Amino acid sequence: MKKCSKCVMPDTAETLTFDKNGVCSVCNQIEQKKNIDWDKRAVDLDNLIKKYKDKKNKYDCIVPFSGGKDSTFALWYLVTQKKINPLVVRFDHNFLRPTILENTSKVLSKLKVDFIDFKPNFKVIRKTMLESLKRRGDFCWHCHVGITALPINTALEKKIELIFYGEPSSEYSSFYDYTKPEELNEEKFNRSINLGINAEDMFEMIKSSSPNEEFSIEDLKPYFFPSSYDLKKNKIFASYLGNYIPWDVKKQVEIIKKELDWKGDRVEGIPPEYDYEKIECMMQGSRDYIKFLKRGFGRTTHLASIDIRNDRLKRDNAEELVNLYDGKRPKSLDLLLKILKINEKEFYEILKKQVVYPNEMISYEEFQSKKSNFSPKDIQGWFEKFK
Amino acid sequence: MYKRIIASLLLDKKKLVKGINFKNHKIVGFPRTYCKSLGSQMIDEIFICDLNSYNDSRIIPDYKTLSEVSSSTMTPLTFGGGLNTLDRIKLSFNSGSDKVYLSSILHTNISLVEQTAKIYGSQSIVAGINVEKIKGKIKILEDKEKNFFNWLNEIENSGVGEIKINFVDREGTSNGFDIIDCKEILKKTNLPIIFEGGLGSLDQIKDAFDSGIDSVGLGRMISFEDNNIFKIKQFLKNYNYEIR
Amino acid sequence: MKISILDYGACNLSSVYNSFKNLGIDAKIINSAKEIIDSEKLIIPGVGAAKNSIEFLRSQNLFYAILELIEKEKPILGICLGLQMFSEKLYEDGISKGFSLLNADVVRFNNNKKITHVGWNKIKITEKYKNFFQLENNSSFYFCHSYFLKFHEESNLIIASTDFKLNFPSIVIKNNFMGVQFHPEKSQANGLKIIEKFINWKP
Repeated sequence: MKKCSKCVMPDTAETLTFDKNGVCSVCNQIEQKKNIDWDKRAVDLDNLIKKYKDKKNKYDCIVPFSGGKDSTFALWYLVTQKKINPLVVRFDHNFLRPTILENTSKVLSKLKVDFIDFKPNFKVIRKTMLESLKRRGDFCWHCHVGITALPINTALEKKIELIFYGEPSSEYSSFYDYTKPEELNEEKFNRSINLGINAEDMFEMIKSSSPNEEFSIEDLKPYFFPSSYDLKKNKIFASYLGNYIPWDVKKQVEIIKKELDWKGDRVEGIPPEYDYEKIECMMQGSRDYIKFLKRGFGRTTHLASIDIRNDRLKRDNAEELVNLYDGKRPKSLDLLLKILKINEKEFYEILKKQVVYPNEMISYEEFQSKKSNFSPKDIQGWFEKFK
Repeated sequence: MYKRIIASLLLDKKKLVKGINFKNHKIVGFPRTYCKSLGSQMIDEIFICDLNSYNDSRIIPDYKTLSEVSSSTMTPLTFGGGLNTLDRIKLSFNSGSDKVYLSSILHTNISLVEQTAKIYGSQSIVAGINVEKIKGKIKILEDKEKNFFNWLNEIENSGVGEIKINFVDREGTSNGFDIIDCKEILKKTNLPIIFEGGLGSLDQIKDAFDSGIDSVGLGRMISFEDNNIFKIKQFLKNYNYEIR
Repeated sequence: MKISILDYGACNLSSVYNSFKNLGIDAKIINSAKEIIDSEKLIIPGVGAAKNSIEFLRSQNLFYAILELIEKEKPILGICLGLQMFSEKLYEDGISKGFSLLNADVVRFNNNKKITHVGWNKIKITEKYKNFFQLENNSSFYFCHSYFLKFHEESNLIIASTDFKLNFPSIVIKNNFMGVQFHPEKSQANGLKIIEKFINWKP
């Protein structure tokens, strides 16, 4: 596995290309950011907001919300700095942690916004988790798809044309880059979000895996993404705040901690000082560990690389952190196995088939023994929940 | 020109399936949405073979699904499976395919190629040959007596636009191509050739391109693994191949 | 703004129709002279033999309807054969006479053996039109043709060109006529950019 000569991302990271100096495309994208005329983009943002401000509709836009740092900052910025009246929409993937729920309460009441929350039933989610783990080595299909489909479908239903996400994917991957403002549309959904699986596909997959179970396509309704035709005809435009203001994670986290009393949390597999990243989901540690098994790197590599690109961390310090935190089996994996009703060996065999060249699967012994000692505060509660 | 990454899909009673050595098929997805997603990931072409009409030519090919797929993605489409008459071929074009895939019928009625080429042009015809290795020799699945290289020559002269070689004994195994065989086949014809059967990982695609192969068909890799076409192409771009 | 697509027996109408649908447009499929003349924007798709198609257009009075639409200065998008028929002479199966809007003829790539340019290839866009389609130079498109447009002399109507055996025009614009040699309806995101431009085009 070769690594970027600047950050510490390896070539197994999806979509990375490397230039002749061995610098990865995401590092170059962050450099591109410096050449953007942000003053012009600020004007574009005001024009965009003005264009969609509709006296008829109570809401100026939809803000998809998880309670995490990005959606919280986006919401804060739009409400307090741009005086927007948004409809806040959350897809509850069933693994929202206590801290994030508290943060959400605080944020919603401080910003005084309307909030729609949808929590699909877990019976279906369990099926999709197992199916997507087996087929793509990623059990989070319902979340990737749900958090994207829900705001878009709500927009269509309530005739709210503008949707503002927060962080553009160019910040961490190269499906797109900073040369053009990013848009959430059918292409992006199918290229980089849904694992190549639409609701209609998942339906066929589950039906074939559980032929004797009662299961209808209605059960997957929250996961249907509308057609390009419906989106264009209804003038739905889903954009990213990060197209119009330079995204700066550390600065933004400081703001939401100060202005909204947003609190961080400790996440499995990353150093405690990164208390702001991916704190929403109980299964985050397992998700990152699976990525480590497949691709040979975990979330610490990702976070350290972001810091390197923003001149906040030196490369050798980054490598130290990576060695310390990446690749340790998290406690939440036991929870995952319990939920999916599979054992260690079955899990190992499933992931073995998903390894990405040139990474190689760790040995079964290493998988069983190299464990993390960290136990998240809330994990017992989750074990109780899924008894 | 560009190297081509082609999705090779099998249609079975209106659903997409994939197996090993053309057996034990598992559901892969729903044609319309699956192909839409491939197009968004920048697949170069999509090949769909109707297994039902392929295995029993009395069954009418699934033009309806072809038509739905053609409407769902702005990507070049090739359709095959039981296209054994000019009428069926016409219906395939009218239902939205850009090319037709002829395989079994070539053994009994190779004149169909000329008839088709006259109306649609030779570039609209892809000839398929199913092969397996028996005692170190390349054999045609449907006719083990025929000499493979003679058959290759005959097909090339019939007026088809390109040829697709399916390594049936390697299909779904992730064992990669037999590069020596591929090189030998490439030497013996001037037409564009698509190779398929056995590709299971990124390095195997690399090996294929390094050996002079220009077009590969992917089946297993895009069915049961996290191998997004866009990601595959980004990986290959790091090795300086001409990739779209 | 009504977009019309001409049905004159050329295959793959539904692909063209659906590519407009992706942009929220319900195009109308037409096949009569009157509908052509009444069009606000017209697309002429094209897959097939030049001689048969042009003969068909003449026999149905569609040829003159299209000439009239050119006079009316309504935007027209010609795809592949739909571009080529706007030339003077088409040398396929003898000689057919085109709309003569472009000072060019349509000839084969190679005289000895029929060579078809099929597959994805790049277009080089002229500097002046760099931002016209919001496309990067060397964007790829899907081509499928054995004949190409050969201008009598260097022409500033050529907005983009492509290399295959030689350099030939891939995008041509003259007043209210836009012609593309490739198939935008088969060229994914890049193709959609061409279609989007045509929808918003005010020549």
